[in-house]
Amino acid sequence: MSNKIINELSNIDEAYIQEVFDYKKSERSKFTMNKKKLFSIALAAAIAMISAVTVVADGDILPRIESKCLGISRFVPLKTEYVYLQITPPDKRYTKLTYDESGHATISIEKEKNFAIGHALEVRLRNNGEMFYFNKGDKIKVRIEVDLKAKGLTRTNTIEFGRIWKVDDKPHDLKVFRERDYVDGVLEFTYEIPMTNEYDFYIENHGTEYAHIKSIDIQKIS
Amino acid sequence: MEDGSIIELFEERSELALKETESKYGRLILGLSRRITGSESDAEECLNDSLLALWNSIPPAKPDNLCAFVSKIARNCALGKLDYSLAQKRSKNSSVPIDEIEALLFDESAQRALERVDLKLLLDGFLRGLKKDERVMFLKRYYFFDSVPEIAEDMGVKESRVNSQLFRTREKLRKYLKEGVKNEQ
Repeated sequence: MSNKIINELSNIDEAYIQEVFDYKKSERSKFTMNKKKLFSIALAAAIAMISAVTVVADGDILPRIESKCLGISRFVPLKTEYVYLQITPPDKRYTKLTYDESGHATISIEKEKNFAIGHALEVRLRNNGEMFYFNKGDKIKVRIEVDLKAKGLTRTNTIEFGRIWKVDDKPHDLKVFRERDYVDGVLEFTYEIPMTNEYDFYIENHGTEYAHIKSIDIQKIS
Repeated sequence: MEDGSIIELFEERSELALKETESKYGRLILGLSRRITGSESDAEECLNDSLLALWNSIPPAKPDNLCAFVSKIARNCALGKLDYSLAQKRSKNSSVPIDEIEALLFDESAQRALERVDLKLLLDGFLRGLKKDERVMFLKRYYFFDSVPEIAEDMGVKESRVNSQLFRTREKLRKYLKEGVKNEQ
């Protein structure tokens, strides 16, 4: 099959091949420079304004997750493309979140409101398609609220939180949280960025029960 | 010479068409063939084979984009030669990253299913969904078989960025193919 894919690429739309010929280094350099410039402005604005992403799940049959990005309207000129939430395995529950002009966003999960055993719930924050840039020592505050009435949050359940490093696209520095770490169903902690780079964040539910996560709030505090 | 004029020469069955094509696209054909076959002599054979294939294709074909059309023919010629070399166990320094593409294999039943689906349609759909930078980088690597340092240089980014971006795009392709196969079943 590997050869089949390589061979079949010969038959793709010629417009894509032409696009490669037309692609100029200067185009990339200009693109990178603009993004860097815009990003530095955005980062300054973010520090001043507070950038926050709140993902709130409700308990409808077809659950709805809404995200309100405080101060995110300052990001709108940057055309923040999406923040997406992915549950693995991703079949039919993959969902994308797109900001509207006001900085609000809505995503929906088609099937389940609970994140099943061993399923990873990835919260990925993107700015114009790029990961967010952090300096070593930057801190983010994370707040995860679970529904105490739901079956989740047993002694055997854990929630893991880590950073996804762009170099290998894998979670690193995972922090593991158990029932005792929650206060009234709310888990709050501060996560310090260990080295300067671009990151997404990763939240995974491990255990023998569903974890009914009501909301996730990630906020840069320094 | 403009591509349109070269195509007209092909249609008139003028051998000047071959000379003009070699003059304009010879380096492209040789470079691509060299990367695929890993052999200078095989690449030269590919150049001749490609020119012959063009002669036999145009007409009836009337490519809208001669450059892309030439690259497709050269790629197919060189991959055919590479297959032959692999069968003869004399593949040398090919730059075709088969190991990277092999990571896309998920399971045997899906592989069999993939034989039955319209892979071209899937690949076109996948490429359409990528951002331009991602698509260009992906095709540079898996269509033109450029090395990672070459891509980094061409696109003005670091090699680590190329590696991580390609990894992500391969993962996306793997998931896309898996979904595509599932939808077909």
